[in-house]
Amino acid sequence: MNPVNPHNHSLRAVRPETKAAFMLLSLVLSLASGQIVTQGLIICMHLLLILWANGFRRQHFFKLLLVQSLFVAVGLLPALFSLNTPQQDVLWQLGGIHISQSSVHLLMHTWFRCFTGIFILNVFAFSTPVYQTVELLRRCKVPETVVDLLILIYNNIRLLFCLSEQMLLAQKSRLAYTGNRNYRQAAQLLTGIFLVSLLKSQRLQQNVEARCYDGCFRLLEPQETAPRFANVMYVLAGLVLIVITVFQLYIR
Amino acid sequence: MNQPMIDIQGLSFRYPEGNEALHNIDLSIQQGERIAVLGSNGSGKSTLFLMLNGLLKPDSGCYCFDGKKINYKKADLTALRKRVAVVMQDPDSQFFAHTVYGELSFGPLNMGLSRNNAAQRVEEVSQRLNLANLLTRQPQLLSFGQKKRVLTGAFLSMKPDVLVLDEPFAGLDPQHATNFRELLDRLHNEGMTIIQSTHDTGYALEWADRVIILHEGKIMEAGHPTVILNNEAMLQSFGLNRPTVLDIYAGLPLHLQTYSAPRNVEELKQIISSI
Repeated sequence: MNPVNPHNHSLRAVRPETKAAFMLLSLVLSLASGQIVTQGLIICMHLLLILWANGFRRQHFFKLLLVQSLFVAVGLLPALFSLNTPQQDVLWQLGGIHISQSSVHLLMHTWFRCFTGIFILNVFAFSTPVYQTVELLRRCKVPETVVDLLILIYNNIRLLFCLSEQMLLAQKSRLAYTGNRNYRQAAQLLTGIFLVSLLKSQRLQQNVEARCYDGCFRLLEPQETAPRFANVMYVLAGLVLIVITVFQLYIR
Repeated sequence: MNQPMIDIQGLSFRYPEGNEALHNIDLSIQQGERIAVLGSNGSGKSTLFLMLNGLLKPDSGCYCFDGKKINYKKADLTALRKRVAVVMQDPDSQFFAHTVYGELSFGPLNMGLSRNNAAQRVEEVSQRLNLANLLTRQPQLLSFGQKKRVLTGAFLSMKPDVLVLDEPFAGLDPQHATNFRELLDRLHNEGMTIIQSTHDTGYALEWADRVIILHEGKIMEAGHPTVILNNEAMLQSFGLNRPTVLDIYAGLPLHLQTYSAPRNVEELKQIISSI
């Protein structure tokens, strides 16, 4: 049961500031322009990055994207229905509840805007290892306590996922979740995870104190050399986005 | 005799739940000694190790390191932990950095080394433990043997005087175990004091300068491996087995047991072949 490492690809070594700047620029342009064409272009630029990167885990990326998109779609569904709609706009109705053309248009527009944001953030998450994110946060003068908590929480989430998988296997090997005690067995799993996490936290505490921990997680990170064209590609992509967005705003 | 590196007198410790983990422990360890601590599960080995770098404070007794009494103040403990490295058994509970490089640099940076010096230590340790190709990997995603190496390296980067290992070979395949043994031999040749707990009496016989048997929180026996580990009845009463080499040696006819007891298979072969 080896977890997948999503950061083993050629975008990993690109400077984190470049990736963060491109991500923020894309988000801002996507939200500011509101045009589907701009948002589609942004997605295409990110897609090119994904396709170019050797070792990028595209299958995992798109699976995660699908789940998140469906989640957003379900969350936006209530926006489809309205009560006071002009008759000429109604597409379908049940009693006093209507689905109108404008609500469908609004839903699709909003969903696509959210989808663009999710796409951008997922590309950033998949291309940027956590230690680069931590480094960026430190440079942005985020309080050390917050950064340290982020390090520990991320580490523990991963550990707990692995642990819960093992415990679940152990339960299923003993015919759990086959009868009418599923909720009780799930509760036992959660309790077990909670107890083990307490124990593991205690051991981690002992380990860091044994290495003279004084309240601050000081770490060095490896210096990696990005493929030469990678940084340039990000900058070019950013410039293209700006030019096209400005052009669109000018036309409008 | 030189002043002992580690000098423990009358050490006792009881956990908050009530179980007395250590009772009246007296122990002296010289610099450069190789100590094997044997005992069944729950005998107090891990508790003793946590005492050695001040992670647990004894209820009674005195602990002196390199001639200086440990007062359990923060400065004392920091100074102690720079010189005594305790590597516990389970590597999965002990990583928090996102790269092996980060994990190896944590200790040196906490010791106050500059970033350049810490980076140099990381390079040295990674070369020594063959971790150079793992530096950018996440420690949690490594194989068990690799995790053990990274964990050991995380402490060796602090250049301790004493290395304490809690069952370092547990879960390792034969190749990794052999590599680890060779590492410990190299460290010992450089003057490091090494204390490890093990259930493998055969390895303790071959490797250790002195063997200590812990049982229910007390030191029951301590001495040369060939003497302590030759007493089968005593070992079994503490839940341990006599090493196979000594079992075979004990099975030789009495008139052939004139040689000093062998410590490994090679010595046993020499005894048998000289008959």
